[in-house]
Amino acid sequence: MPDRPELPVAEFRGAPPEAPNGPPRRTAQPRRPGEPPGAPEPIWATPTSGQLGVPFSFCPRCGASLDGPRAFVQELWVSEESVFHVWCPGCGFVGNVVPVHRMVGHEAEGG
Amino acid sequence: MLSKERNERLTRVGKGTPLGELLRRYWYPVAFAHELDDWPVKKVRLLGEDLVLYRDGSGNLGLLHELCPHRRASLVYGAVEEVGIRCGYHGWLFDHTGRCLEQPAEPKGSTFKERVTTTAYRVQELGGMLWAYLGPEPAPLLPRYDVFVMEGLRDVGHCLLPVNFMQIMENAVDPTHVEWLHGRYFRFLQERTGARAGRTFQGRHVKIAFDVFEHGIIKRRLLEGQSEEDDDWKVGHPLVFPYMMRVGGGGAHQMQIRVPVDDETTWFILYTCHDPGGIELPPHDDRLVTYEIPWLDEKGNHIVDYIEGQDIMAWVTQGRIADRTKEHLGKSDTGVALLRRLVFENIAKVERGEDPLGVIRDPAANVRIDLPCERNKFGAGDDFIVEWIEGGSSRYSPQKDEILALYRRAQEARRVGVGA
Repeated sequence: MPDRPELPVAEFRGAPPEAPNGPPRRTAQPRRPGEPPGAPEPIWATPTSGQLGVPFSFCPRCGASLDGPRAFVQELWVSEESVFHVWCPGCGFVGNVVPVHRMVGHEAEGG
Repeated sequence: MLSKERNERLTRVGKGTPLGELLRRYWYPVAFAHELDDWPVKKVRLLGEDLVLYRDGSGNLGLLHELCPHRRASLVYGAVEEVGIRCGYHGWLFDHTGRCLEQPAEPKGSTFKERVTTTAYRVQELGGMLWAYLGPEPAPLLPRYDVFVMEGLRDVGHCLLPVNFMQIMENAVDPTHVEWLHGRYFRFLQERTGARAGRTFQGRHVKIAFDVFEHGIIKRRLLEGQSEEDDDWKVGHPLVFPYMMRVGGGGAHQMQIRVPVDDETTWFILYTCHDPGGIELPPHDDRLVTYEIPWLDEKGNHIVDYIEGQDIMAWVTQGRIADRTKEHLGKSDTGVALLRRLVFENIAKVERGEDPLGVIRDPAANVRIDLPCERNKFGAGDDFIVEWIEGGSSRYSPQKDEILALYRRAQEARRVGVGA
């Protein structure tokens, strides 16, 4: 019987998105000698904290500070983006601020 | 997530807090009117203030600070007089404006009583409930929302919940929870316990939307198989800012009232007016039929085999004041974000000395305030109301059978009418 190829203990299918607290914790243990290969060990998730922090401090319209508790800044997670819903007590501006990490120019429909 | 400081601003209801000052611009129910028929004095807690509510022999409704300004004994154990309430300890007598009328143990001719007043708030009766206003003068009008003034068979379930009222209000702008909490989870229970999951609450949400209007936020949903001409989208139903929600369907008209008792307690009231239309209502009087809704079983577990019990489970298990620094809102939570923003905007209005959203001062606009509310709920027709009564808190109503019979008669009348 030919030797079976050695299977990886855990298999990544593409790089997982990095969690805000750093990469996922990998807890798989090496197989002991003679132990048959079983199902890949799962990669245990690290809980997200939700504490990404607000990456801006001023109203995009009037420039008033948004740091104090009177201003409303609510983080929403929309797909891969963080959207910050903002209301400025200084000028009444209402809008969403979306930090951009990658400029996406075009996505084929149904692709 | 929301910062800790903003979570505090969003949830603290006490006097002097930003939200507390906003909330003090509105009227709140503090008792059912018939409670004072049974006993003329009631202890009340509202917006973190301990108060005593009473009706004196002249019919005056009074709402005073609970403790007598003399030696701080509770006026809840006071004696109601022809005018005012008399402290049980030494007999000081106060009227409903907070004036001290008598200090019987003081020397004759003493003017001491003229130098003593107590905190007093306005009270009015509407729809079989007694409403209080704890804010600055001039007081706005007590809004005459349709449910409280329309004809119909009234049925009122209620309970006291150990949770901040804002969590309950956020649920009112969270349409998708219906298909999961009252849909999937209910089916899960049905598969394992035989609990009856209503078919009409299972619809999949395709689209949700929120519009700010003069009384709050109108919530709309488009379910799978529906068009934008369906009531759920075209009409929707409102969150009535800042502490109520108007719902209903198929002849049931309900105001869900979430009274902020204090930071961590809410008096939850389901005030329903049944009028299926097309038939004569059975004889009924103005005294409300009220009953407590159970939400914990004998082991202390949540009762989750009915709609509102499931909601209560979600609100209460979030914690007395949900830690919003640890939450993760998504796109389906845009209604929640909108409500929070509206609270912040209206706190600022009050700080500028303006009236906040929904405050009414024009009597002509307050004869009867008809709020938009879908009639054909979830596109389910007559099925909705039966499932709503049998699968909701109305199952605990002492008049549940009469209410169901009312709808059956109305459905039969419509069937005969259509066939004629």
